[in-house]
Amino acid sequence: MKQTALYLLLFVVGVAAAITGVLPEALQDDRISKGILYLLLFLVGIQIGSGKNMFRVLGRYGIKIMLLPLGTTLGTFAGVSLISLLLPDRSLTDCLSVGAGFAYYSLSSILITEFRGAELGTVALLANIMREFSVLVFAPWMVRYFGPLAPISAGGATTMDTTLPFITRYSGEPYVVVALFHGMVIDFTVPLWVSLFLSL
Amino acid sequence: MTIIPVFFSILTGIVVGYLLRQKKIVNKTGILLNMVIMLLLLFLGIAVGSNREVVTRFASLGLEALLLTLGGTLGSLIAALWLYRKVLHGPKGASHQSEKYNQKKR
Repeated sequence: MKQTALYLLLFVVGVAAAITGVLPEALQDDRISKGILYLLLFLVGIQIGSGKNMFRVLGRYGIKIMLLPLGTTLGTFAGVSLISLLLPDRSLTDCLSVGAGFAYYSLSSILITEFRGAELGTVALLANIMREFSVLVFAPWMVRYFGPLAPISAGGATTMDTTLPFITRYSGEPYVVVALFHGMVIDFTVPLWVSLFLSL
Repeated sequence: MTIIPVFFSILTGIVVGYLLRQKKIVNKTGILLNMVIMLLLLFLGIAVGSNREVVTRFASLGLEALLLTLGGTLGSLIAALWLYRKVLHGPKGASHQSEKYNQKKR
């Protein structure tokens, strides 16, 4: 939560600085942020490549544990595709790229802003923050009506960090490993899905 | 600007990460990643704030975001319920856990 607050603070500081016009021209050059974006993706890659936990968990629990991240992905894409019918100004792939953030709002909104502009980037930022908050607020309700796997699916990429305490509390201790694994898998698919949908 | 450099950056990272997986230095990537994300969110704020279109349409963009969140989250909730009932709730594995859960609910 502290980290989320810090992230949002930086975003708000950026907005305020741009609106009040206190920024030097040099900072508005988007070649700088593009350069840093590639550094970010490179670091995300290092984390994926050096991570051993994912395969160890897969070895112990079998392939069945893969079904939940798969269900989360397919369910999200189906839901977002239906919503895209209500949004005539947005293409299906734009909507899918927002959905493919899976609550990983920083990475998805940064990527989308670079490739589609600040407008869709803002939608992605807000949508994915809302998704994270939906778990923080509605986790007990989700467990009650959709079963103990529900807050894990809803939490998307955040189920190994920010939403994990809530999942542990409302789904129960036995679901901690499922949640950790789910978060890891979704986390590393976010940049892949988002860039795939942006390239279509 | 194409998307190819994006895949290229991630793939290079995966290869480098895999080669360095035994080295202590890769444990530091999390901290660096965090700092880079913070820097980029500041830039994102600047991009959003200097785009008048976004500032004036903020409320309607928020509504779009809300609808997309509702669709995506509900879709994933339904998938989770279906999986819980049909697959993960089978005789093996998670069954004792769900019994415990049901008792708690009563």
